[in-house]
Amino acid sequence: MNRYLRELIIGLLLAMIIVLAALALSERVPFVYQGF
Amino acid sequence: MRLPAELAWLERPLARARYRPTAPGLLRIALFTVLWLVVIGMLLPQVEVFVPTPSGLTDPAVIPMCAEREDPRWVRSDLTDLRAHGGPGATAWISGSSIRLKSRNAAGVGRKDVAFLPERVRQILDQERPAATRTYLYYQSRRRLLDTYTLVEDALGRNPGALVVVLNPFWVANGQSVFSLESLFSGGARLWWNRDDWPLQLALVPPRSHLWNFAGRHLPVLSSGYDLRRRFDPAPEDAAEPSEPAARNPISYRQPLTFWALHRFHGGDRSRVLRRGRLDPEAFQAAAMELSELKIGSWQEEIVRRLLRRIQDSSVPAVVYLAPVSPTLGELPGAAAAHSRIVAAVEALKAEFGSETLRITARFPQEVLESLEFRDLLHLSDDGQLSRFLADELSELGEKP
Repeated sequence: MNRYLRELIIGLLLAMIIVLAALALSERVPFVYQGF
Repeated sequence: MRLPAELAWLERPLARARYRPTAPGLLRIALFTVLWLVVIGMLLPQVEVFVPTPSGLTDPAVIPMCAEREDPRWVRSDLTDLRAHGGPGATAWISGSSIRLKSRNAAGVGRKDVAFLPERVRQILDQERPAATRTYLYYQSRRRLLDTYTLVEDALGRNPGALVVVLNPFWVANGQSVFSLESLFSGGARLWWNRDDWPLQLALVPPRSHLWNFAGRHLPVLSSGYDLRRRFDPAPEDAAEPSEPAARNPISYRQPLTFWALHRFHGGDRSRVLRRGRLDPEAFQAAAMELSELKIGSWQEEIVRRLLRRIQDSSVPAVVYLAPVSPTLGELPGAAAAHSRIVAAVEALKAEFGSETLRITARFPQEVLESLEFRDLLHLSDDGQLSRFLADELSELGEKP
């Protein structure tokens, strides 16, 4: 397989990992009401 | 090429993929990754900022503007021209929790809200003026001074017809707590890229927020992850204010001011700031007040001045008022003295900045104050006199040529 094609696919895999991580980590810390 | 020690773990998977890393090759991979992120961002559905309606807000002509507390985008992205949307009377109202009116028989704070002050004021104005007025509500509890300032900048950028800014007497002069949450540094901080405020970028915004803001602006998949995720996994409606895991440790690092107040005023004795295992709002408010001073040259004084100057320069008619406090405050000598100093300082600012179109109120008329019933030192219920007073202030603004 062409070297550039490999790099493109590795880039795609990395991008997908970043997107999945962004989705997985975007759970917000719930705000806790403390009286003020 | 041997990879550096930190990336040595990558060598095996790369070898398995029969890829031999070279410096230009790694650079290309990085570029392709960014490219793919942009492509994925274009393929994913566009999601608007989720704007929650504060519980107790029922008037459909009062439109909430703030995103959820931890949302890095901070405010809604649509409604960029308020006058085009709400007519010449479109009023942006910027406030913390003091405008939440409590029901008269509510036992505790933060429960059984009945209404919002802007709703009542809008309804009074609506009866007087033929044209319907709309109010755009920048509301979130625990707003601090810098939050308020930044929201004023946001509101002024949206072409409002008028502005109401509520200064919280417990925070307006407090240099220990000038902002409430770090989400300010992502959503709000972009408004500081101007001639006057850019030093705030250097002084306050952490480098990771700069990176995150930059990446988030160009790669929506990173900044709207939460809303995208909610499409697949809807969060329960009440997730924003859950019932109290805080009861286990009410004095946490999430409220550093509580920690300092506990040790400075109460000798570390927790029982004096807790009531039934929870933070006693009055003790906390009194401590916050006692730590306050609108000293010339301080952070807080500089921000208040900037806020007023900003409104003055914009020539948007505005009502700015210092929220009334409970008469019980008079029984706490330290806090009462601090409060009178703050009122005097705001009066001085009124003399400097106040005008026909910028009405500043530090002291309310006695009959208004007497009609108010307080739940703690700040939160109140209003039998109509306060709303009437503010409606009059607003309509007097409207009468100028």
